[in-house]
Amino acid sequence: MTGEAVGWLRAHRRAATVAGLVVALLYSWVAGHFSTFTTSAAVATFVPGAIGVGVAFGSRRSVAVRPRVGRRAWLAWALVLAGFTALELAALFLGADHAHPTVSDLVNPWFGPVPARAALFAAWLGFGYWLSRR
Amino acid sequence: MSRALTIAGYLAAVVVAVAVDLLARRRGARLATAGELFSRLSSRRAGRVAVAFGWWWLGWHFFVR
Repeated sequence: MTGEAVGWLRAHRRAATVAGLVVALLYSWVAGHFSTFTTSAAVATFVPGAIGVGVAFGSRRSVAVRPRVGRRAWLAWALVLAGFTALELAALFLGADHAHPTVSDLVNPWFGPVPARAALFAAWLGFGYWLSRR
Repeated sequence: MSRALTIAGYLAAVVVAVAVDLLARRRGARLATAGELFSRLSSRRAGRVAVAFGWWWLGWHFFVR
């Protein structure tokens, strides 16, 4: 992005934010119409994903205030993650059937209707934006 | 019953995660919020890229497969 473009975006931050939000919502609405296992869904998911990874790779931003995260904090989150992973793996190895559903089995029905799928896609984009601001 | 137990386990993991995050917001807490955790992970380029790939995989898994 050129210096002029960056300057314009800074000067019109609110307008740029609203425009970005509108584009993201429209994109999500369109992406919500694409079923799984289709090329269109793959392309619609690939593009923002590639942009996100590219931004993460290209960013030279150094976190101004690097949060101090002590051992106890890491341990607490590691335990949460380990518990969740253990449950998921147990369900997977027990057959991932009705009695032992994985998280994907449980939430897949949410991705059926177009409005829900579009909303979940928007949530995924929003989560990506939130992560990029960390 | 097994299904209910499995679902209860997932819900418990979510509740504990929310509880850890809320507890971390108290003054003087020695825990970290999810935001602080991701900020710490993203403080280096390798971490940022790994987090971005994780996010990408999440979208791919649910929207494409």
